[in-house]
Amino acid sequence: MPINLVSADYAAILPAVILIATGLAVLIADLFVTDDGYDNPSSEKSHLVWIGVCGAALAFAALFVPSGLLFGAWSENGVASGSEVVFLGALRLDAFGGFAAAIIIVAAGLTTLSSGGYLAAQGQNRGEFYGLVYLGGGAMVLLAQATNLISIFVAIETLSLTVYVLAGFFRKWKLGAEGAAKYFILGAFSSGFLLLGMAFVYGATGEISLAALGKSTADPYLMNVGLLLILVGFGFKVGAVPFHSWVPDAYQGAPATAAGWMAVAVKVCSFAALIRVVVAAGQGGVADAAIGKMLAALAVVTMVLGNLAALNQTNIKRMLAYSGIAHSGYLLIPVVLAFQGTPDPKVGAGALFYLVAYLLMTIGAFTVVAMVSNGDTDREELESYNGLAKRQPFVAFAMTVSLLSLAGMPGTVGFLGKLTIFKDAVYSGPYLYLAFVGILASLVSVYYYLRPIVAMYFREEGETIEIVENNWGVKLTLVLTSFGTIALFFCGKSVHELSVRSIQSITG
Amino acid sequence: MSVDLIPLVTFGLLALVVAVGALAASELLGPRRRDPEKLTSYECGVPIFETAREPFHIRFYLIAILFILFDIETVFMVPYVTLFRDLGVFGLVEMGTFVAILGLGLLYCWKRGALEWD
Amino acid sequence: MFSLTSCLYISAFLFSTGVYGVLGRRNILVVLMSLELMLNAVNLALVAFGRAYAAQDLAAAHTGQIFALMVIAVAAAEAAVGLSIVLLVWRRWQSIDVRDLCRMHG
Repeated sequence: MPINLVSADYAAILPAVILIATGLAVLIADLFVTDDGYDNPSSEKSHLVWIGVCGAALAFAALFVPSGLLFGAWSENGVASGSEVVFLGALRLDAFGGFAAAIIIVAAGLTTLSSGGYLAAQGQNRGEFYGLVYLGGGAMVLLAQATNLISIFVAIETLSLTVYVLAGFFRKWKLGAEGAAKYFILGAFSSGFLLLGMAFVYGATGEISLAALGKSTADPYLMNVGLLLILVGFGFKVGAVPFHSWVPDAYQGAPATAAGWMAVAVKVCSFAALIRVVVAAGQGGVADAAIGKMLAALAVVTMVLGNLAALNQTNIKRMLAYSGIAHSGYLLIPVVLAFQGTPDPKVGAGALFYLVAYLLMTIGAFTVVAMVSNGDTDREELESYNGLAKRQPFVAFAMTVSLLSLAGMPGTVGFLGKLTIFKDAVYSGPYLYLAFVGILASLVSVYYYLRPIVAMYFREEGETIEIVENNWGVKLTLVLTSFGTIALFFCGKSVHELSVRSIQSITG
Repeated sequence: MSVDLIPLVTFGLLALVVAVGALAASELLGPRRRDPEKLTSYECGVPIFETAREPFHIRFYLIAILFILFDIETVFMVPYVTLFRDLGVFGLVEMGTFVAILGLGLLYCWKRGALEWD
Repeated sequence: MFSLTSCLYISAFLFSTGVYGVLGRRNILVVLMSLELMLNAVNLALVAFGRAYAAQDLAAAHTGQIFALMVIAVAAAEAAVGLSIVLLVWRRWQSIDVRDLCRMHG
């Protein structure tokens, strides 16, 4: 059977192809630029940063080409754009994938910008870092678009392999090796369950498209066990609570900017794929209602335990890791609602909008962590932030904005994100209690988000600490994230509308 | 609940019983008489003359890892070869891209010095 | 002739062996092998399901085999990354015992 590709096929994979080509270009460029090249990991290597940022910008632009992923949703006012099945059902060209891809691409660009100075200060600035970010980014974009089991599995594994390596990127750190090993073992373990679930779904239906998840002729027993195993696999990837034990270790051992990348990008694409899975499963009616209840229980436990565990962390990376777990819990609320298949097809939009907010505030916070730690593990403790506001008022301000937004304070986009999610839960009816738990959990979280702020503004510093400061990339990242965090609070409406149109492209 | 969960629960319990049972049985029933002779490795009855725990040189691991990566490309080559007449020019371009990316990988290994033995 | 059920039993046995190896063994290399065993157990199930569907529909049969091929490729990449990480752990900790790694506190 000859395969004919049409323009929609090329438009669908264009962003991912650009990201992967950027990754390869960075790797090759690092080999051949010798005077400032790979044998000198203490140099800033701004040429690599430039290649990376240009690649991200190109990939972002590729979303908006005619018949591109976001073109329809962006141009047609209020109308869900048409979507097309491309590559024989392996991928889908729709605004939902495009929206997630946009977040991933921006995250890749910001991570690249903020990493150069930090990695150079640590003497670990190797071109592979950027290569892994962009190769993984390409896989993440494909995962956000993937609509059959094979493409989902291959994409999720490819991106996981890149982040395992990033977690252990600081090869001289003992913690880096440990975090990478734990992440790898648990991640590969969960992939086994994910794959077993996929095999069961294939066995139950004889199909590998996601639409098969709703096939009413399927054997319900095999189908439900398969679905359950797939959800367990995704639970590991997003760090939901019974499957979260790798998160703090992996984040603590990873370079701070890589931890931000792992937190944001892996979550975005995993939640995108998860929402596709639950929407397909929820529409079919084969999936058992008990699975919805289990997802809800997962959300509750993740929100509560994530926030409680974050309370007594003194290492800022571990605190942010547990806070990331808690945010996975908030993000599971729209997933539960999407599974339930409520009459309102917009319920998943909360997750997309929240992920935009999460991108800005998390990358901002981890960039400050990178600046303060300056490559030294001891400076990731909370005491290192004492009196930071006097020496570095702007850095302290950026950290404050990010933390307040993570806590969901009004005036920041984090507030709008939480508001959207909780509002959907309140209107949903049976899952009203998720909103209550979420609000209580966020109230608790305010305590630990305020601790670094208090340290920065009201404590005297013990010793003067140098931070990575004379680096344009890091500064630009902080300006962009803190500006975005505040600006989107005041004009987040258009982004929210875009997210609603995006989610309608898969829920109909 | 629309699905009968009893088989699932039974399966889970059975798995638990078997797992715990196997561990407990070997703990309780297995005889443990240790002597130094018993702990040495068995080499066809010949007295051992050096320990097998001699670590391999790191370069063997590197070669092994590279071998796995470049070896597995055959997994994609074989299905392509069986169908290559049907796939025509499109398939050729696809495979060309695939091999080109592999080639980039080889170039990377080469420049990084991973292929040098000394 | 192998029936679908017997293949699935073997697959389940291999998968459980892999799970036991990951959870119960201390040597990271053994854990790594067990992880590969899990993936290969699923491969067996995929091919067996594909074989079972071959009687009804040719396309469905091929998807199972193609899926298995993809998994083989992924497993190889995973083994390579896993081995590198084990090597890194050995260099930093002078140990490949999983329990030695559990020094961080949660």
